[in-house]
Amino acid sequence: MHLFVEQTLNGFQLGFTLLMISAGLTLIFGIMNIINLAHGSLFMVGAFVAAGVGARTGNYAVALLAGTAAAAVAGLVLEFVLIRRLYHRDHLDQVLATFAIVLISNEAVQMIWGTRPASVSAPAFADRTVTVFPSLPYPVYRLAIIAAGIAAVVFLHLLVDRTRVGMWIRAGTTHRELLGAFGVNVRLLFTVVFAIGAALAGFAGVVAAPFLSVESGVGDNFLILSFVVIVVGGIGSLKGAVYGSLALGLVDTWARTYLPDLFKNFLDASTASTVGASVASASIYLVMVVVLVMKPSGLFGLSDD
Amino acid sequence: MLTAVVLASLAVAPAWVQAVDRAYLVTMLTRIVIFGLAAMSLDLVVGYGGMVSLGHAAFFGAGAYTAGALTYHSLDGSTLLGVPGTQQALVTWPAAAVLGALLGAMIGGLCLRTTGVYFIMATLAFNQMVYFLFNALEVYGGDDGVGLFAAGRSIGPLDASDDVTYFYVCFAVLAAFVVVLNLMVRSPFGRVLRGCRDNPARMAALGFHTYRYRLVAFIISASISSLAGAMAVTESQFLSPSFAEWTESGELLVMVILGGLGSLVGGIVGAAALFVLEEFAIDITDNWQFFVGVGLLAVVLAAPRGLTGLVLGRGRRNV
Repeated sequence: MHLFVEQTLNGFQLGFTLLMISAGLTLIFGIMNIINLAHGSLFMVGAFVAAGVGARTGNYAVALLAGTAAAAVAGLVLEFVLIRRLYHRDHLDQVLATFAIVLISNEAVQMIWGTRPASVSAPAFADRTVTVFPSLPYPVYRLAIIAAGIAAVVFLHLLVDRTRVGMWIRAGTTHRELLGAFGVNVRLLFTVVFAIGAALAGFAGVVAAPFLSVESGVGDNFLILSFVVIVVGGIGSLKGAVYGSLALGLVDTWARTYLPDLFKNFLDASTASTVGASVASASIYLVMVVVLVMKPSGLFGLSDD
Repeated sequence: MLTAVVLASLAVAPAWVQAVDRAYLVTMLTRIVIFGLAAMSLDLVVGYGGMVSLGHAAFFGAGAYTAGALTYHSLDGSTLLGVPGTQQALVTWPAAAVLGALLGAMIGGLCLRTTGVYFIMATLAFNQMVYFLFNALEVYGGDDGVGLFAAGRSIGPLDASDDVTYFYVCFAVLAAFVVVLNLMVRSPFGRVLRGCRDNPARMAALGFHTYRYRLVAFIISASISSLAGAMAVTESQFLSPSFAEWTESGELLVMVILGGLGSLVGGIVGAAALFVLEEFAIDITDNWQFFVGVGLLAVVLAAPRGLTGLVLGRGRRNV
């Protein structure tokens, strides 16, 4: 039972980290129908800037702010210089141009910071643990990530569902041309959404960094996981991103915890750990398979265009 | 015409690099041939089928792991699921092609239920799944991979341990597939495939089962990519998950675009451009891919028909 509670919390932590990345991605897809492989690079920018600033100042809060701001600025520059040239290009051009950004930024961080992995240390208060369950101490830092994730969900929910900008975002997802005809500056709206998405990705990069070795390409796997989230949740749907992230975070963590033991019931120990680890690493993709079979447009997606 | 020029240049290239005292470049030429074959098969899917697959490294890697695993067990004297290993390319390569076709049927069958960005994301996701599966295979060194240097390169009765001999074996395979794929895209099947790309609604109305045509093209492409992966591991004699890395999928796509989409031969031209650039740039900087990125941006924004488009000045951007 202790293990279950602990791993469930870990699953939520992974899920909320994924949410911060995929929320921006899905809103960008929704409004501009654009695929951005460089979203993982914004995660990386956040982590690297936080590592650099953290090493200089020794202050986590400053590093967190700097990493988030750097990703937001990088996102703004990226949108201004490249992404807006890609609105009317096909998906293949978008994939290639943003893949070029992935190559450039992966090499650029090596040129700037070297090839040795950097690290971000968690803030001082986070070394402590709290008892979340009878005699189960749990690290404060992980709880803080979950709290930040919940805050992000509330923020995005209020933004998308309760404000005028959010109304435009929702309208832009289904009726982009009409929205422009009503006099809304869709490009400016998109720039704002892109910057918010970039800041969230950078924020996720900073908070996840203490668990990672911060090196070139560190955001790539999170990018692909976010794609799985979006395929499962449905493009352009914030709700889909929230439920998709949390579901996949939990499935991945549970599978890694329990599958190797489960396979020990009918395989010998070493085979069981290999098979269990393999199946566990594939678990979230198996969820994606089920969704692709049952509902190809995602659980909360609009129907395929 | 361009196809003939490219193939003829490749055929004499080993003699040329030896004449200018750069015999070590023969392995680079072999890699151009192998990756050119994979890029050409990707062009069938992307250029002719209009399906932007960002997951072809999964098939390339699957081929590498099929051939690599059989070779490993042959060296080891152990068995793979009860089957003895072998180093004979006439066994390992077809095995890779068959496994690639099966994997292509599974991944393609699922991903083709979607279109547009969903398709791109789903293929990329399956690519990552396959990559992590290879990482979990501790028997082949996990994420470190495993060397197969004691293996020879037997192709039937031919011993292709010599790099030049091996180049010509790969070249022969490439030339055969250039002919086959060119015939295929000109056949009724190829016409239907392009129809599905340009106007799927009309093709469906005409009674064509567009999903099936796309899937068949995807399976053929996956199978050829897998064969190329097997040829690559026989060349490098080192098996590792890096064959299936997602950036490898991106690079195959880059080769297709650099060379020119929907031209088949463009894949070979693109592979050559990329490997020659690497050869020269790696002396200047380890971060040569930075310049690949810059060049790719320039091509996408300024020359959407790729290098062959620049040379020929004609052809149509199709996708």
